[in-house]
Amino acid sequence: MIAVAAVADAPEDSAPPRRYVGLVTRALAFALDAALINAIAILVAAVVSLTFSIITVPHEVKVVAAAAGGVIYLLWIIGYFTTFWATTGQTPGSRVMRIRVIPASGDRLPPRRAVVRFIGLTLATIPLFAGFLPILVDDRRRGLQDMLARTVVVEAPDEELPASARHGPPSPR
Amino acid sequence: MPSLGTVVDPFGLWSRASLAVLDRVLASQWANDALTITLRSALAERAVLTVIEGSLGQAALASAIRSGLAERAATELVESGALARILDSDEMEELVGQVLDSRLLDTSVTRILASEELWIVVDEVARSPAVTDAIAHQGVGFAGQMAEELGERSRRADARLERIARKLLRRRPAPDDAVVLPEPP
Repeated sequence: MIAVAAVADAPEDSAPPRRYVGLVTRALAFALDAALINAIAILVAAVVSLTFSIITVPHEVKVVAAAAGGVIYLLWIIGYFTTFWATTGQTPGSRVMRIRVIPASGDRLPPRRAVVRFIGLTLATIPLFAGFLPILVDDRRRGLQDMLARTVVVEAPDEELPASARHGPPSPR
Repeated sequence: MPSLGTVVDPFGLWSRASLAVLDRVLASQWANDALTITLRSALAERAVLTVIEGSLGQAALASAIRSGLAERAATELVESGALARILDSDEMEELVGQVLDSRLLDTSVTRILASEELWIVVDEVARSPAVTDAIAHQGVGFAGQMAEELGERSRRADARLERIARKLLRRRPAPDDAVVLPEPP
């Protein structure tokens, strides 16, 4: 039997309680996402580099393009995570590992809190990943990013979507 | 007016005597030897070939087909159990073995494999929606199985790592079945 830290309850319907997900599973999901993000970024960068290799442009343009590429890469990473967290709650890596980010209260994670979660993720990584250690001892297996954005990560069996994703966007608040 | 036969042989004695003589002749060793010699002769062989290759053979075959003789024979073979006996027999097993070992089968397989039609059929089958769906379903199923296995192993690793961390920090073990309600909005 798999030992669990705790079980998340489904408050609105009679769905079975879901377990909070631990560090290893989340790390694997994150690694899959990182691989996907970088694969796409490398592909795009290769196409752009090949284009620049056959077109003669001034050196200054190349510098600006490299800076713009860096900014676009950053936006791509932020957009990737926040979009998936704020819509289905599952990045592709999370989907493979069958886990989902949900708000501790409410149905769907608002985009602003998704951005906060991404900032928390970055902050948790900076001190040699120490921000993820609370996942090991917290009863709800929350890391720094979860505490900042008030989220939890739970198991998500196949074809399970949050109520908001099933019935359309929530009513404006 | 009485017929000539009635007049000549009013009691049919002559006819009966003739039949008795014929019966004796046919039952004799002489008749048997004569028949054997005739059937073994080149003449008999030529006669049979003439019948088979000539219009008589064709007519006999057409007549047999028209009258449903082949169907009746097949039905009789099946219903009488003769077919099952034949198929179960050692002779049939030996015959099949000989066919499989024969050059005929090798040649046939080689010719079938070399035929363009076979590969057209194979191509059609491979492209059929049923086959592509089955392959896709199997691929997805395999990926799903892999993900499930990976998930199970990672969750076991989660629990193990957590136990070690809590032991090091001297914290109470993780609750196994605690149900945590979401925070109120």
